[in-house]
Amino acid sequence: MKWLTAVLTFVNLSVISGLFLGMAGRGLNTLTAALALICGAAFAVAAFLGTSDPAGHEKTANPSERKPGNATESKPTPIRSALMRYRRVWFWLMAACFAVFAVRSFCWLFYIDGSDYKIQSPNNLGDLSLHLTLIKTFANGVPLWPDNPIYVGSKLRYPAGIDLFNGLLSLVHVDLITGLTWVGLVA
Amino acid sequence: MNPQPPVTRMRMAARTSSADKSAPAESSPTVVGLRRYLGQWQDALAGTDWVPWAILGLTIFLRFLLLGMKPPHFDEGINGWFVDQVVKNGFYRYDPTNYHGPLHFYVLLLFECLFGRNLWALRLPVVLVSIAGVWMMFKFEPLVGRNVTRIAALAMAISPGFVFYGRYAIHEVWLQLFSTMFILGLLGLWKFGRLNYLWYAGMGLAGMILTKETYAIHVACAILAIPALAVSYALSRVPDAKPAKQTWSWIDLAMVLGVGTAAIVFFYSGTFFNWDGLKGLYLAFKAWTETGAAGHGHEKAWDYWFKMMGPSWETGGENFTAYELPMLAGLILCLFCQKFKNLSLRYLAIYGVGSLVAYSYVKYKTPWCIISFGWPFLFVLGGWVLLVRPKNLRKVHVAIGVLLCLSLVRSIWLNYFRCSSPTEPYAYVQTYNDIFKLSKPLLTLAKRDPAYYHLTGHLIRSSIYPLPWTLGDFDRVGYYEGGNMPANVDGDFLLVQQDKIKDVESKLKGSYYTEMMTLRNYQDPSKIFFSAKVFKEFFPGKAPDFVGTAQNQAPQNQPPQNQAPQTQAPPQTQAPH
Repeated sequence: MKWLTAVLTFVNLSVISGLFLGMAGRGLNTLTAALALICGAAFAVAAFLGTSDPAGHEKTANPSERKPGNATESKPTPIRSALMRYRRVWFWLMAACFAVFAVRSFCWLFYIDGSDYKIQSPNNLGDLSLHLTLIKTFANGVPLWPDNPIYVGSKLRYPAGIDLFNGLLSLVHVDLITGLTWVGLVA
Repeated sequence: MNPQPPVTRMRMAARTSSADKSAPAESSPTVVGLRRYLGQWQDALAGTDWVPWAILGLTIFLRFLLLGMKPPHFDEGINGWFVDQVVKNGFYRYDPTNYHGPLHFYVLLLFECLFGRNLWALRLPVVLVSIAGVWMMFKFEPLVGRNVTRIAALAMAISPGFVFYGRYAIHEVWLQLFSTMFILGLLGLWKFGRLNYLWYAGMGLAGMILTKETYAIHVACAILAIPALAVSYALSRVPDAKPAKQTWSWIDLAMVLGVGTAAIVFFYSGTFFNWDGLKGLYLAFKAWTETGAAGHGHEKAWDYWFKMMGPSWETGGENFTAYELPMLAGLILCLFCQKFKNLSLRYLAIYGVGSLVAYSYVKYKTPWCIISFGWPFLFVLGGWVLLVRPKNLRKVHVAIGVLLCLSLVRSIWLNYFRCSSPTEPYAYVQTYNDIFKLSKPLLTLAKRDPAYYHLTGHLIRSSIYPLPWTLGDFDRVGYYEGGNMPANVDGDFLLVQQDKIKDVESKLKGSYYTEMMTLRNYQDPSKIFFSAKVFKEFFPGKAPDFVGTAQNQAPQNQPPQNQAPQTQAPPQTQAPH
């Protein structure tokens, strides 16, 4: 829970800081992007320290809730205790499957094969093009909030927060494909 | 009736707190959390034993320092090329006739995805595994004692071999980690019978199977060491030798086997895309035994490992100070195996000697194997302090200290000053720094402007690795060997084998800067041709060294018209050890 809070806070506050700094400076640059990420990191540390794990609280708050039973009930058999030990096996199995799918999806999200740019899922083709356009738009330092880069004469109305975050990463010289992989795997 | 606040015109003094003076003021959750963390850290630091952390710190420092200074090794280039193929195909196609287990490639893939396609990212996982290997040594403390463990861990942390190959993206470090884990599990099961040791043994075995075919040697030696230990025990009994009662159940065993099997099936089947890969689990042994017996150019004499550990003048005098004196001392101390009152140490000595005999018997020898079988001797070295009487203990400490100091000096000399020297036996088939003559200008240009990734290059020579990986992002590079030649020889850069230089020069039309380079030892030199138009900034004030005989130059930034650049074929040989 603490890590989840910290990571979410880092991404959210980096984006918000980047947005404000970009609006104040009429566009993002390497310095403002780095500042935004540092602000996000500072808030993430605060969130990490200010959050407590509910599981730990329950454990310490209710230590005497277990009702005392007779001797045979309180002393489990080895088989029973082994089964109890692996009671979360389904959770870990699901987590492993999820990890496999996440790695498969995001390590091949967008990659270079010889002279070709490739994506794994054809369904991603249109979406990814738009996201790359938005990331590049933010990273190119256009005044915030920008016009729609693919629809002339209109303001950008797409919820482009995560693209702004990738734009910040691009500005601090994180490779675009690497940045997409990080964000995808973390998300 | 609603209670109302008191109404008064008099200024009232602030109410004093009823709480104790030491009661903390109300703060935000962040401040409270920070205080709690600081308090926890204070308590933890006060009770911390700093020696293991200092050893781990030294381990980390030696392995991370100037990690990219050594040019990529031939095998690193091949491993990197395989990762590129995994990206292209979506899975690793295990071929039992040529290559190693799949785990390393998938880990490299993940790190390249996370940190980019560069040498640092390629080596990072192995560095982490090497650090984990030293950390694993500390886990032997309940079995062999604190001092023995620390001496062994320190010896591993600073060993020239463990540092050198802990900075190489090859399989050997994985095998060392998993074999250590496996032996720790076996000894722990015998001594304590606890579940965690069952997991160590199971995951160690699964990890070895996922890494290299030579796991068979380690498993066989571990098994054969048991009856040998029984004989040793019969000859010289020690107290407290009875196996502990096992506290795990068959469900635990099933779980360990299930996880290990699932991992093996998952990776060997190419993440379920190549089920034929599973056959490689047994087909590998046929190819491997043939390679091991034949040598395939890597044949060495039986005493090769002794020359690696101890002083040797055979290779030009570079190893006269010896690479692994602590390991050699441990090996010598194995002669006094019967004197050990600790059965775990006896087992480690027997297992270590057995592995050394097996690795000496196999003709195919590459120097990095030394870390796979050499680590038990470091425990035996540490066990030296148990062999002597208290009055001699100081002398033994001094002797071990001297050995470790020599090892550290040798390690620094090898890893940071001589890491690609042809006269260092550990730098085996190591690429020379000459490779930077070609790669640095190219990568500098490409970093500045990705359009330079489309430069046309012809690499006309055999045994070109690691260049296919280094230049993997350059999409117009052709590799020509066995007499092949592009239709239009002119390009933005060329690398030409010595015996082809005249032929190529007679066909060139453009102007070029040239440099000679040698990729690695046992290989004839090559000539680099840099197109004067593209690379003139790297040769300031210098006229092109070579001007083609024809007057009409071919366009420089176009791929060959008649022959598309070839993709480098997979290598045919890779060290199986």
